[in-house]
Amino acid sequence: MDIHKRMQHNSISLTFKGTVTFELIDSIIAIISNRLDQIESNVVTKKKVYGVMLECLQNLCFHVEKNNDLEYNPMYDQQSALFMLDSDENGYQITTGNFIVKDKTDSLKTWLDEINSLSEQEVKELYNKILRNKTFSDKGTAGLGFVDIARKVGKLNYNFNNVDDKYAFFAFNLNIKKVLA
Amino acid sequence: MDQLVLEPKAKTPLINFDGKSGLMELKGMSCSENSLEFYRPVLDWVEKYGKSPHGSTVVNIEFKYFNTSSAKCILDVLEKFANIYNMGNNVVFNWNYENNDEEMLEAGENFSEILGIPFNIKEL
Repeated sequence: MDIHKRMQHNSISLTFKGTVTFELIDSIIAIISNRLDQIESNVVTKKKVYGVMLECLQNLCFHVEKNNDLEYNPMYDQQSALFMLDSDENGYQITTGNFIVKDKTDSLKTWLDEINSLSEQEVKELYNKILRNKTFSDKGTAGLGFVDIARKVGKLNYNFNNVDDKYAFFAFNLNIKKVLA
Repeated sequence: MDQLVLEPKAKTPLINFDGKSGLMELKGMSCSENSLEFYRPVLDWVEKYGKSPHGSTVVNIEFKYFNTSSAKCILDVLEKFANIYNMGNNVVFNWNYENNDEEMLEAGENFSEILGIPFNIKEL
């Protein structure tokens, strides 16, 4: 992305790297909501951006909270996460990144690939199936996060970057198209 | 049966359940990271209400947005009202959504389908 485009009217740009807490999420959400109210007139798009952003940030927070196995690394700040939101004339891009123990990458990859292999209708059916299932995880999360994001945006783009023997970096990227009036 | 009133906040909705009139209102945002904690007393209240419900219960629902962990809790609350309906009581579900908010329209249709109970779905 050409950096000067970030200065266009009706654009939004936010990058955060650090420890994600629920208090911080509240602040980010408040700032972005205000900005979206100014620049996005389409209710559907606005709520998609809001919803995807919220699920992504809450995911990051739960992930770091439950992963006490993220040890000190001299090079990388493993307790930190990355969150980026940008927009251009076509839509919004949300990117998140966090460190993950390599043992856990396979199950996450399998889950994301499974969601990506489904049609729009099948994603809705999977969402309803999980919704009907009453169980919550230990953290009180519903297991619906990625499915809900897929319902809103379609394809879940992701990548695991190699960090060292034990860790990988999970980069997650979503595009929300603007609805042209 | 008394009232249950929880004032709306940035991440939690208005809950205004009136056992005396049978009028129940859920309205606003529901996106707390800890939805279970918020909805537990709500579920308990409806459970008790169901033991001797008002002759006519009206459930007015109007969400601006809810996150995935709230979705399950909201379904649980509505299911408790659905149980009251399925016991042969008069329960009306009014699902209202903001103008053009397709996602909330779909959510209402979805909940209605899952519960197998007709909702009056209305765009505001």
